Amino acid sequence: MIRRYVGILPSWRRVSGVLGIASFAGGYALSLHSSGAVFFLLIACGLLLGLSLLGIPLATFAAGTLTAAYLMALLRAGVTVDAGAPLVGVALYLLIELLQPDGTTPDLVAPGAARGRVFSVAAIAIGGSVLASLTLVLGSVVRVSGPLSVAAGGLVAVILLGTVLWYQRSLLASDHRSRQDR
Amino acid sequence: MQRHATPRSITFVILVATLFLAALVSGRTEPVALAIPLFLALCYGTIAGDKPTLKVEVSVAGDRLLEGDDVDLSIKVSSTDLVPELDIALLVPRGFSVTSPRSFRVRAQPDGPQELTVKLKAENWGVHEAGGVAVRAWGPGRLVTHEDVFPPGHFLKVFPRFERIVTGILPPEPQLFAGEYVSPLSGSGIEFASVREFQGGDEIRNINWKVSSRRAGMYVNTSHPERNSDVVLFLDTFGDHGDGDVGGSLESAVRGAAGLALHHLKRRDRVGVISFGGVVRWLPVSMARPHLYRLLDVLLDAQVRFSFAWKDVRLLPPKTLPTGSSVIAFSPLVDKRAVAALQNVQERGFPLVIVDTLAVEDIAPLPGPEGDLAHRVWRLQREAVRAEFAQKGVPVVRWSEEDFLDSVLAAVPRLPRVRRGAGA
Repeated sequence: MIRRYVGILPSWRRVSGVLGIASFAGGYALSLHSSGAVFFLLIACGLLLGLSLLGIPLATFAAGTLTAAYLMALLRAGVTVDAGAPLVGVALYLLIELLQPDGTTPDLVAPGAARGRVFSVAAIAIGGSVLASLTLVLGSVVRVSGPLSVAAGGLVAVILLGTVLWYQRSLLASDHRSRQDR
Repeated sequence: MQRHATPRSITFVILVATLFLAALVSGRTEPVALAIPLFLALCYGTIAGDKPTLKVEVSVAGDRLLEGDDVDLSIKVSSTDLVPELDIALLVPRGFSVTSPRSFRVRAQPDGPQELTVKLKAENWGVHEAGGVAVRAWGPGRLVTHEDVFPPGHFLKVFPRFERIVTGILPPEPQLFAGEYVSPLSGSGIEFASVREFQGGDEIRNINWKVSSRRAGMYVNTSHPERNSDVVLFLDTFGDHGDGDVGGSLESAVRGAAGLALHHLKRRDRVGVISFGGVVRWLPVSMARPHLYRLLDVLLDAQVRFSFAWKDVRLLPPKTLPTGSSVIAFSPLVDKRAVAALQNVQERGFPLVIVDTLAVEDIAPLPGPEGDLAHRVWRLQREAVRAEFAQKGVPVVRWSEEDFLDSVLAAVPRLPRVRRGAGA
C-alpha cells in the first residue's frame, strides 16, 4: 500500500510547511504542560502527518490529535484563558490546508490559481485570528456559567453550523432538480 | 453541473463541530477560538462558490482512420465566469489508447475559450463513439466542486488493416465487363487465341498476313478478351470464437474480407458482401472506389448479435448472388445455420471457397476427462463438415493470424466452372 502512495510525494515546500506548523503547535502545547499523554498524542499526530503527506487521507485525524494534545496540555496547565489560542487555531487551519492533496495529479497547476489560493488562505487566517482574539476577550470579560451558558453556547453552535449545512444541502437539491429537468 | 462537498469541507465540519462540543464540555473559550478560522473558511467556500456556466465543444480531425492511426481530438472550453481551477479530462473511447496527457487543469476566463488537444491512437477497428469530457470546477478554498460529464457526440470509423492480397482467387468464369482476367472466349483483347477466316466486320489490323499469304483467303487473329468477375464475400457472424487477446474468428473474417474486397475492386471486379448471422446484412455487387467505403461500412457493422431464428440464403434478393459470381466465405464452421447456408450456396452451383477462421488449438477443452472427450468429438464433427465440403469439390482452407491470407488462398486450386442454370 505504501508503494501506491510514494509516487505522489508532495513538494518540499509543502512538507516543510507542514513540519514547521506542526512543530510550532506541538512545541507550544508542550510548553504549556509536558505530560505523558500530551507526548503520546503528539507522537500519534506525527505518524498521522507522515501518512497524510504520502497521500493517505488522514488529515482530519492528524489535526484532531494535535488539537487534542493542545487542549489536554491546556487543561493540565490550569490556565484561565490562554492568549495563544488564536495562533494555535490559525496554525490548525494552515496545517489542514497544507495536508490536503492537490487533486488529480501532482504536476497539474492552473496558472494564477495558486496565487489566488494563497491570498484567500491568508485573508481567512488573518480574519480568523482577529475574530478568535475577540472571542477570547469576550470570553474573559463576560463570565457566564451554568446551564444557561451551556444552552446558549449549544444553541449558537447548532444555529451556525445548521445554517451552513442547510445552505449546502439546498444548493445540492436545486442542482439535482435542474439536472432532472434537463 | 452537480455540486459536491470535498473531503476538505467534511474535515472542516467535523473539526468545527468537535471543537464546539469540546468548548461546551470543558466550559472554555479556547476551543471556540481554534474553530473560528475553520468556520470562516467553511462559510467562505460554501457561500462564495457559484455554479459556473461552461460550454464544451469537441472536434475531431477526421472521422475515418485505419487501425494504428493517430487522431487529434480538440476540446474547446469556454466560460461566462472566471473559474480559477477547472479540471478537464477526456473519456477515452473504447478501442482507442491515449498517447498524450488526457487530463488538464486550466484557468477558464470569460474573455476567450481554452483549447486543448489530446492525441488518440486507434487500436481496434469498428465504429467508436468519442468526445466524452468530464469537467470539475473547484470552488474557492477547494471546499466545493462542480462536476459534470459532457456525453460523446462523434462517431469515429476505424477500418481494419487490410490483409495484403497479391494473387487472390482466380474466378472460374469471367463476366461481361472489362477487367483483368483472360476469358476463354474469343473477342478483342491482348492474349492471342486463334486464327480464323476473315468475316465481314473484322478489322483490317487483325489480318494475319503470313497465314493469308500461304492460304487462298484472308485470315484474322482472334484474341481472348479481358473480363472482370463477380465476387461475393460471405461473413459468418453467428459467433466470435477464439482467443480474446489475439482476436477472434470474426476479427479475422473482417480483416480478410476487407483485404479481398480491396484486391478485387482494384482489379475492376464487382464485389458484394453478405454478413450472415443474427442480423443479415448484404450489399449487392458493384465496383469502383466509392463502393469500397460502402463495403467497409457493412464490414465495420459486422457484430455478433445473438438470435435463435433460422436464417436462409434463399431469402436474400437475387442480385445479392448474381449468376456466375464466385463466393468466398469466411466462417468458423461452428453454427449449423451458417454451414447449411454454405451448402445451399454450393448446391445452387456457385463456385465456393471457404476460409476456416477458427484456430482449433485456441479453443481449450473443459477440465476433466468429459471435457476432453467432448472437445475431441467436437473436433471430429468439424472435420466431418470440412470433409463433406471437400467431397463436393468445395476447397476449405484454414487461416490463422500467423499466416498470410494470400499464401493460404494461393493453395486453392482453380475453381470449377459454373453449372448452367446456377443461381436459380
